[in-house]
Amino acid sequence: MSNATFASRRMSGGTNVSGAWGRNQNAVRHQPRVTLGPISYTVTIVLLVLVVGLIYVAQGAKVTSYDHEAAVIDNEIATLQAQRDALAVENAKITAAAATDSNEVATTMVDTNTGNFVTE
Amino acid sequence: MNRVTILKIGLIVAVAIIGVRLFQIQIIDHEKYALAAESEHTRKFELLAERGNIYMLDGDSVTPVVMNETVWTVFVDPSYVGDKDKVQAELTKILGEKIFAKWDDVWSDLTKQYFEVAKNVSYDEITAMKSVNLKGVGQKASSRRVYPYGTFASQVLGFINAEGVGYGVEHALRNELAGTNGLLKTVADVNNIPLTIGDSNVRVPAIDGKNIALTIDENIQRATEKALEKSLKKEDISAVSAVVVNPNNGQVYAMANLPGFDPETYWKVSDPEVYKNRVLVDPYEAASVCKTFTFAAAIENGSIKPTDTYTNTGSTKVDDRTIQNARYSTQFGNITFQTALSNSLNTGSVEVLRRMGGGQINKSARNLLYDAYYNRFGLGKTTGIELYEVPGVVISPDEVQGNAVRYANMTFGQGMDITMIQTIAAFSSVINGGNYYTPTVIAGEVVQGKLVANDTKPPTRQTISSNTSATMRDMLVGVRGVVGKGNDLPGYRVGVKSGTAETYDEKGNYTSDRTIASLIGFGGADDGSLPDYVVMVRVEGDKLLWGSVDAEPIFTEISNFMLGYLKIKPKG
Repeated sequence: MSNATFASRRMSGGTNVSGAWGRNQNAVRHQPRVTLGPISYTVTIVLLVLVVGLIYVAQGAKVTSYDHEAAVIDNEIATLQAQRDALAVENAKITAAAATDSNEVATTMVDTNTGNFVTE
Repeated sequence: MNRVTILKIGLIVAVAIIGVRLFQIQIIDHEKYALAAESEHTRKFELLAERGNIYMLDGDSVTPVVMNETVWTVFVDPSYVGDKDKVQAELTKILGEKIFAKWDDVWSDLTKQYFEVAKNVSYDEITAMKSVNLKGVGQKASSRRVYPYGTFASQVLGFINAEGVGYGVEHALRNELAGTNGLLKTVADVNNIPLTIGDSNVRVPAIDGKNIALTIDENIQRATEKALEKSLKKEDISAVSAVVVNPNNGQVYAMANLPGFDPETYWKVSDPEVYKNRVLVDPYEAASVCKTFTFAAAIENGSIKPTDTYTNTGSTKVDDRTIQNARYSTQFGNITFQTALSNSLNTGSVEVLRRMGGGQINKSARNLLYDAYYNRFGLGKTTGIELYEVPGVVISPDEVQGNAVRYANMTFGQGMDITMIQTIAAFSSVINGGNYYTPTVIAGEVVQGKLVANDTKPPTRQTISSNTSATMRDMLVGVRGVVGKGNDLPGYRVGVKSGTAETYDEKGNYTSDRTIASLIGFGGADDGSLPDYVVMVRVEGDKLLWGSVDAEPIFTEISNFMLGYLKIKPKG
């Protein structure tokens, strides 16, 4: 370093009183004593990729879990549909039996006389 | 070489290997792996369309007479069953007689993974079975047809078997009822559960079959079957049929044949003849009911009037044959054609044909009768009803067999085969002003429980003039003054024509010992309006049956019911 190009922070403060207060700023530079080597970097990146992958897989699993829920609901719908059909059939059978036994048709029909004999 | 360099080289090599492998898999072998992956992950599911229900009219509403029910097939996986005794005991308790498998066979091979043990298991039974939680027992749902009314209208409703062969509406309208199955092609997991992931999923929804409403009215059908039942109980009566139509639009109110069968267990019948809808597929010599058509043709042609007379000697000669009136006939001497029709004299109808030919049964007379029978009244050919029917036979005068003797016989319905549906469709046109309507059993479609009715179809053709039709109504009312006189409810206008058809004996000759009795007639208000219904009845058995004696009471019973059911106001 050449003295000719050196510019003191103290000097740069000039006559400005406030500049004098900042003269010690950044005078000390702290650097971390532990640094990551290339292997650690690689492992870290691999781990990060794995985490991203896991997140992706988790999202995929979440989607398929909805499909499973949908399948369960579909099954319930099918079961209820079957129950509804069974009840409708039962209802129709009871209605048919009732109609046959006590229908107005059956009770209002009357026997008729035997037909007159006609040659034909 | 330091560790970093080794790592770099290792990574580069690994990446290179992976890259090469990926290139091979994804580029070179892409097609192969894509297909393998698709077949591994993708499943095709058929989305079953629900078969349409069949409804009958019930007054102004509709009622289901053919429905679907979910049933299950229960199977056992012997390799997975934990407690065999428990499975056997519980299934026997719950499913009872529905178990068709022999348990020894089920347990004989424990490597088998699928063994059906019961079919047609109901919802209640399957619910009970599930509640017991039996390990190694599964169920598979399917759908079956249910006929809640049993044998009711069985030949009309029919059935369809697994091969798609059947009878009745179920078969004739099988395509409309079946609908179209859909398709689901999707990625599925190991349990075959469809997943929404994947970009090649295909879902074509199923289109359910149509719910079809018949024109047949449940109440009229019941009344008709009830009337037929009584007749069938009589000695030596083997089969009875009846059909009721609205003559003013061709809609069939009722169509019944006894004995019937239960379509739900159609395979249990001992005689498959009961499947036949005799109204449509059993042509016969309808005998004297056809005099209606002969007289109508002659009046339309101007050959006769009801008051014209001829001399009845009890028989008449045609070529080398003598045609006689039926047994016990009377009314000899100079009589009117009305008297001839009322007493169903064969000599009268033969004389009508002669008058059509200017005094002879010549080609001109035969052409005129054939034109009326075949072309205008549609006898001897299918009517166009939606159900399966057969045409029968009416021989043309151009054929060798279409000679004078045959045509003389055809004037009273012998020597030709026609079906009841042809007869009633033609008869309807005779009494409704001359409009021939194609008979129909389809009223429309049921959508969300409501009937969406088909458009009413116009008449197919004009068979006779309205004046001739009015004359024929009067003549048939006159016949009712002789056949079943006094049996109708008072204040209505009812007209009929009976028929007794000889059948063939074992040698192929006509016999009067075993006949088919028929009666056709109309009814309605006595206020000058057109008739409201037409009923035709057919009775057969192993004895001499008369239309006026054996078919008439059935007609009267149905006719009187119709007058009340249709709320037709009596005169006075």
